[in-house]
Amino acid sequence: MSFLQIVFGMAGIGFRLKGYFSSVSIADRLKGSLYSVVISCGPWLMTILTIAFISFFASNHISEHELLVFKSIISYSFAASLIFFGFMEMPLTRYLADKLYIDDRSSFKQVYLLIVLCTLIFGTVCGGFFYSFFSFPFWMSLACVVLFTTIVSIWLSMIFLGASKSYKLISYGFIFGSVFTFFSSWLCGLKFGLIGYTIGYAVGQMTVAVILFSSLYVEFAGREHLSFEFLSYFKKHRTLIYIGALYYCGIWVDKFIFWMTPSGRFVEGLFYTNLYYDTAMFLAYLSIIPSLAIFFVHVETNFYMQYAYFFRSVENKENLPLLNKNIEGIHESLRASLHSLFKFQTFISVILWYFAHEIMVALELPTLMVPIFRYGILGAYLQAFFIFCNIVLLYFLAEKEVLRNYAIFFFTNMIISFISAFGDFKYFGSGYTLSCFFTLIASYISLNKRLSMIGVHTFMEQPVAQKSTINIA
Amino acid sequence: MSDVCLILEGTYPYVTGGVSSCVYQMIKASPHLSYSIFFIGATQEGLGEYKYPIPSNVRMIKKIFLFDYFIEGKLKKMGSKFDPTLIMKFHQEMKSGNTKRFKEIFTKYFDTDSRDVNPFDFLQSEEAWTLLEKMYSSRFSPVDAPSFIDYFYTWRFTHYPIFKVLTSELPKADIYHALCTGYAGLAGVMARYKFERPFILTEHGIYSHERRIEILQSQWLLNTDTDVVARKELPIFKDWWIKVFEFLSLLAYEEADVITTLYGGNREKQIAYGAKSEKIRIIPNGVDYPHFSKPFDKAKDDVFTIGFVGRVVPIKDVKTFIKSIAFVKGRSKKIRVLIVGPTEEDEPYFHDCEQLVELLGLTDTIEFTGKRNTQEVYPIIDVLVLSSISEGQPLVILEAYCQGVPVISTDVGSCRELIFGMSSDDKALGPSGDVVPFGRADYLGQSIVRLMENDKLRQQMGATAKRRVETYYQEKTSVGNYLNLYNEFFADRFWYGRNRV
Repeated sequence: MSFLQIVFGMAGIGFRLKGYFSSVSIADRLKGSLYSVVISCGPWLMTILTIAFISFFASNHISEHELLVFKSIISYSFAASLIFFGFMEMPLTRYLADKLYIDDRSSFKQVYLLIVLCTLIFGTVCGGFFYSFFSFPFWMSLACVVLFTTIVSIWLSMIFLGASKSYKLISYGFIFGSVFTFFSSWLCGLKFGLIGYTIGYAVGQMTVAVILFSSLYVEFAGREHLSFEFLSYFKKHRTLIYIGALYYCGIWVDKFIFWMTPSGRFVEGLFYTNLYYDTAMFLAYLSIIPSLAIFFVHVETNFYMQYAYFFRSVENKENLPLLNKNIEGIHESLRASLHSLFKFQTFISVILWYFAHEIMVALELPTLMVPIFRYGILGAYLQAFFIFCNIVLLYFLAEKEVLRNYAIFFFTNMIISFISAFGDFKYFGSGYTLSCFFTLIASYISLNKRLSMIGVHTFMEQPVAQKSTINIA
Repeated sequence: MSDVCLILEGTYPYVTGGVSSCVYQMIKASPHLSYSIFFIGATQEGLGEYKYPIPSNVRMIKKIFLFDYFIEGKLKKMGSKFDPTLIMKFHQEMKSGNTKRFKEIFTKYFDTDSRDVNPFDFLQSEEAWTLLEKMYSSRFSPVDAPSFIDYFYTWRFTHYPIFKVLTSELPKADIYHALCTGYAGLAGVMARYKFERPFILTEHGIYSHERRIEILQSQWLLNTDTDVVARKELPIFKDWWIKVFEFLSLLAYEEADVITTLYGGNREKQIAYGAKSEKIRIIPNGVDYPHFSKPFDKAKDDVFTIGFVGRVVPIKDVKTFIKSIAFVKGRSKKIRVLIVGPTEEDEPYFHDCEQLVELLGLTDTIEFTGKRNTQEVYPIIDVLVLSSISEGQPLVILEAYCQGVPVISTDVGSCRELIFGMSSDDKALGPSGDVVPFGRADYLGQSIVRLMENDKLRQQMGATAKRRVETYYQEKTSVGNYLNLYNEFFADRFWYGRNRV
């Protein structure tokens, strides 16, 4: 799940979407919500929904083992691509955000092409190596590798969406791509079994990738300027690389642990899985998607306006009482956003938590999953808040603090999940929840501290290194 | 370890000018003394080559550059050893002209041997923020509060160069001699605190005064007067800079053992800026009398020749001089006027002058010679005129004196002292020219006429001029005065040594 994508890129889109939200018409508001859901959580939603549908239909045609292999291919591709992408995400988004700030999109097309190309090559090599441990037929292995690289390139395209204006096209592209993925996978599966499902799925994802790629390509066309400046962002902002990597590793580490430890199950080749844990957790994540999609756009636009307003007032040489007033404005917008996020998400999470049993029954899933699902709901609830805190921290360039928070997330999740994996079944998932709790506390404290010191940081952290021409002689 | 450490701000050996040549002469004339030079420049960039030779008795030249900034931009904490109340007290006392606490500040925060903190951290510290906020809000009401970012940067930029001086390493020497106040004076103060060595302060021009004029005219300083609201006081950021320079001067005056300047007028200004009168001595600049007084064999004709030697720029007020010639022309004698000096420095002004000459019908009389060897000029002129609006101690007057040429000058800088004499003995010699108020072409004209029509008076003044420069304004006298001053302190060398141990 790519929460962090929202971090920098979304401010731009958020502004454009704001038109929909400020509109009186309900249809427009719904449209705005749809766009923001798709743009912020598109790939994630698409994956979960297609998997769910395909599993539902496929269970009649292929064996349970083959279905497990199929699901593993998708979730491994998903996890690996996110971690892979996690190393690149933040420096790249920072680069794009900086360029957008000075309204210079001239290098985007070439940078985008270059990165996608490198990813394809590197992804193919890594994927090829990974699947060499399996005894899949060639076409099957090829489909798996293609699927992996395709998903990575979708993630990459998502970053560039922040710089895009054609979010309508992209939203429809996603919806169409998901439907197409479902049908191509299902139809091929009906005919060729597991290999058909896999190839069909890969082809469907490629369609999404191609739609995103071509719409971005067309939009950035005519700006032919190859600049390697973005590489310097990887050097300059090393912390950002670690932040992205720690975050995605943090998200997946509990799943890995539950796959590998005794409660997990060997599938094939290098695939392990933990049916109950995965399914429950993925479902639980769905509970915060509305919050992420709608509120984050909202938060970011309202907050971002106050934020930009403050910095503009500094540049416009306003006096201190006014600056302090604008800092208060930032505080208030954040307080208001947190408050409504709190109300909305608490409502959803409490309901899901309460009806966990009924939901499992309705989905024809084993009720054994209920405790994990409940931990997941609670964890995701806490995670939504700590993401909120860290996004805001990143706006204030508090990279060290975010790195520390995400390190807490990764390590506590790893350690507690590992311990709980050997414990009683009813504690499965408690590692993730506790870890989110600790991370939220750390994030909340660091955010509060940062917010109380906006002025200090803004001014005292101004570097001065130029050679002045002031003549004293 | 050298005998004398000269603290030079933007002068010798990189920049030419009065102070630089004075320093050069002094070093050259005292090969028995060893010197070290502490050069304070603006930026390393554009510093260029040495403009003077470096005599072999200069043992080392240490350079620092005040405006080569580097502030990293990371939030720092000063820690528990940092005491903000000390800073508050210091600033409070400074307002009433009390500089005493500065020594404590220096020892605690700057002196590399005793400090507890890194002073540069302060420029990016939480503690500084708290202090700034406090001072800002206690000083301004929300109605008249100025731009905070300007306030912030003015704070940083006024303090940074001071921090840089205070943290630099001074060459070891027996005597420290700063050739101006400002940052050089500050370095002298630091030497006084740290090594407890004598500190001599020489000011040719009055630093605070010059900076004040510069700041008021400058465009680069943040100007708060963009609004139409009428304000009686100075824009606060200009005022801030001026106050900093005034503080630096005051501090140097307080800590210097001896203060010297070129002439009485400057002495009065120093006293006005806070110097104690008993510390001040006057050491005028001198000219190379044997060189300039050499007889020149070019025959002088009958035409009465009026000379003007200097750059054709507004501060010399060449226009008033030209107008005054209109009064002189058509009297008993045939006249010729030579304006000797570079004209390209301010082209529009030069053009104005040429037009004025044409307008007044003086084209045949006035000649702009451009830059010339002045030694060839003095022997052929009958009187030298100086029409400047502002001067320090103009060397052209002394150079003209060497050839027995009387001088008519405006009453600026040390001109009155140079023409009527300074000490009672000097005054007894009689006038060696005349002084008129500046900007008055009529007075200037009348004065020229008086000298032109009275040959006897003029010759008498010429003789006085020669005697005056010979007695009081020789380069060797001037240099000798500084060296005598050093000697006074060398005599105390052992006392200082004991005191230190």
